[in-house]
Amino acid sequence: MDFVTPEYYYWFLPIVFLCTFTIGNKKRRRQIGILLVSSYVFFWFASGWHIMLLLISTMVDWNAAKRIFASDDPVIRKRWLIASLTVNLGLLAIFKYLDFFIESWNWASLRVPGAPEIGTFGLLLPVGISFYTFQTMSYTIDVYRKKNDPYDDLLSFACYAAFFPQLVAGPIVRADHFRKEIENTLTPNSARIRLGLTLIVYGLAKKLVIADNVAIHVDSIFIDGEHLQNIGLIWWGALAFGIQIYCDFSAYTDIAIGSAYLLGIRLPENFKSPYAANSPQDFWRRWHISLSTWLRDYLYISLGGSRHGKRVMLMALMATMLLGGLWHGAAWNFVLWGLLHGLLLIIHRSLKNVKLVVKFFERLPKLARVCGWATTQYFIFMTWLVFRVEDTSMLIQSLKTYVGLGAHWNRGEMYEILPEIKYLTLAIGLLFFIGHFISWKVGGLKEWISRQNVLVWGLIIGILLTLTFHLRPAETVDFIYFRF
Amino acid sequence: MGMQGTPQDGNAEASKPGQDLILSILVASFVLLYLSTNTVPALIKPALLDGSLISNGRFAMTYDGYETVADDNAVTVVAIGSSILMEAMDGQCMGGKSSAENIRFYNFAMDGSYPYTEMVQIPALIEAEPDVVLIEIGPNSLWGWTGDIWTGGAEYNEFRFQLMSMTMSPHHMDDWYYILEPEDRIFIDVNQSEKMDAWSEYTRDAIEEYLSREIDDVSNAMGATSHSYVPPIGSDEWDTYLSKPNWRTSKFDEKTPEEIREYLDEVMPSKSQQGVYNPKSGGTQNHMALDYTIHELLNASIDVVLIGTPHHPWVNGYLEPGQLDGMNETYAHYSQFEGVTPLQMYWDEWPTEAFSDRNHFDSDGREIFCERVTPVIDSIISTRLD
Repeated sequence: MDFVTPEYYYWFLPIVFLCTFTIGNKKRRRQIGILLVSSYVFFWFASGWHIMLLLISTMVDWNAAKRIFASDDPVIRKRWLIASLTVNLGLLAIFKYLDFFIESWNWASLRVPGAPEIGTFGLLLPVGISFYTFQTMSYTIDVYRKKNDPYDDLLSFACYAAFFPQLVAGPIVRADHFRKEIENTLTPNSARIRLGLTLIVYGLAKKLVIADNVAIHVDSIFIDGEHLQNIGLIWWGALAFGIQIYCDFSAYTDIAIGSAYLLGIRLPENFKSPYAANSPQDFWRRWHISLSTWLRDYLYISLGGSRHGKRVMLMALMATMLLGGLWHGAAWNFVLWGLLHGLLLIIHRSLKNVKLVVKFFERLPKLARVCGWATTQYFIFMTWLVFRVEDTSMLIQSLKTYVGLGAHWNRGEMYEILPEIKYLTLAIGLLFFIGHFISWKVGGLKEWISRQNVLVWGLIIGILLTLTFHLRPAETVDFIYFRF
Repeated sequence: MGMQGTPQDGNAEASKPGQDLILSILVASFVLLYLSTNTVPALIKPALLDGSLISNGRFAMTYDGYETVADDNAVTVVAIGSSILMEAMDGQCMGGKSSAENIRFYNFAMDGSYPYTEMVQIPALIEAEPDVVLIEIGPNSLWGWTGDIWTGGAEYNEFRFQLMSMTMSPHHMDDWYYILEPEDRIFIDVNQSEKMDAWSEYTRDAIEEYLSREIDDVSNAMGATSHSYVPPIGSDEWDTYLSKPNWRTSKFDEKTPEEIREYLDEVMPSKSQQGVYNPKSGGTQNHMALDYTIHELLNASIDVVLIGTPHHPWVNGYLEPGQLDGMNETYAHYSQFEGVTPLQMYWDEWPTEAFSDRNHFDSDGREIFCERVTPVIDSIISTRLD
């Protein structure tokens, strides 16, 4: 069961909603208990016995934070922090990265005579492991840093760790934020319910109409062949994948936040029109905000941040982006993706203080912003090629074509390679960018929709539902971020 | 479960956000339902009918065709059956030859059909209030499933049932549903959600087709004279088409008698073993469907004519004696019913020049059919009017 399966809407969410506000009516602990049980049921359907890993992560961080808070001894505090980090990162290392490291070793050992080859373990990636381990680690680290107190009761903490809307693919929620949301009894709030329904429908439309349709084009483009030299195909492929990954991931977040709103809980937003970003730094303030802020607060700052000189800052930045890339998946293309974003951030930081650039922004601010936007997006979509294309030779060819090296333009070839549904998907892509622009201009299209009157809201939601029902492809594509 | 909204004074004001929420949801539901049941089908149907989206637009015309029949104040005669009857009947010729005043002949026969598939449309046919219904009964109408080697049958059933249930109204669900095999019932949309699902299978293709026409000036639509093309509903061509569909070109016209013999020598040995030449006398889904069809029509005071159209005269030479007894027995059985007129022409003499292929008429055959069948209909009509 996930956010695009009928079961989630036909029985799971309605039952959780009803139980929370009837059985749990005005009884806070009972409500938390219901949410906790629902979350474990959701996780069981999603990942089966991997539920034990969630339990381990939860119990380790609950105990670690308690011990850290109870002690003034810095050695004991650090010991418990290390225990928490070791267990959580250990789970990640084993279940997500072990086979990757072994395969990398085996690749390297081929070049070293006599080096042993090691067999992989074939471990299945537990659903959501990258998210809930980071979430519970942030709790323990915040307690260690004396930023927050630990939760008063295990029930509330366990609910925070396992809360089903954001468990599988974020947003990564800070403990203090969640605590404030559940410190009082939850009551059904019609404004929040309306916003929640808006987000859910909006998310479903983004996922099923936009992401899944462009995915078919992306899959048809990024296969081996001479067409990879076709600049039209590669540019469209990069754009289409950028649309796919944004709509796919932000749709999940919308539905997660929407589901939480139905239950009276506000989760933080995770995206803010990232393709309106006019610099790499701006992009990371708009894309997967909960991860980028987590990396900033717990990795970048821990590595020195910007407080110990430029050299430390650059190294911290690069290390953060490399590890951020690796977080996305156990493959070298994700590391490369992170590296490229690190380079973009470094180059941006260096360029923005250059006199010529400063003068350009002062004298022609509008043009400068447009140039900044165009340049940023050009490179952002180029990095999406790295994210998507795992095969090295295909990636090299795609990148060369993207920048115009040895590329050709052939409309007939484009027509041949693209699947049967061409113009509709191109139109969807175009409408996506128009909608994205409007959303940026009005400060959030879904929030704008939810503020409309009865008739307008009903009309828009009805139209979105109709489009979702009728324009979704026959085969639904799994959420991309499930792989992380 | 008290609902909170924005802070308001008084209970009536406090419940307004809740009322607004419910109203909003109702409006959204209405919009979804309206668009899905009206706008989307209206968008897709022209592309279904012109053959852009499916192999033969004719399969999508049934229910709109019956609405035209229902609106017709004339005496109406509707024919249902397979491509054999479709190629045999020229409704305009019959209308011209008929002695009845103000009479229209509608040809709703279509490729590949048999009573099991056609029974689904019977409630809509009855609703159209025709005076007479011609039902084709030939060797190809009475085959049983078990041991049959027509592997495409399951796919054809799925396609026809899906298309018919998509385009029919909910009140056309009737006892025919229980005659369907369980594996075929899944193709019938029993509720609005399933209908929406069925239409959604064509939406993307339909929009792509329209965009392709606008951008590239390229269309997958069949030509206006194509066998698979149906004119736009309500057009002048539509009215003509319902009586006089687009027939196939003759295969045999260009063949010499020796070539025809050669062709039959090649195809008939295997064809003669298939269900289409081994009709049963009863106990098949087709017979159950026929029972349902005839009884429902008779109960609605609609006269029924069982039409047996011939195959090429040389075909019978490839069959065993008694191989078509099942068809004869079926005719004998239904002929006993009051209101049923058997018109078995399979065993009549027909010139070889009347055939475009093994079992379909060409224009000469249609002319002969018109001359032989029209007087029979006329006598039924005059009896009804008396």
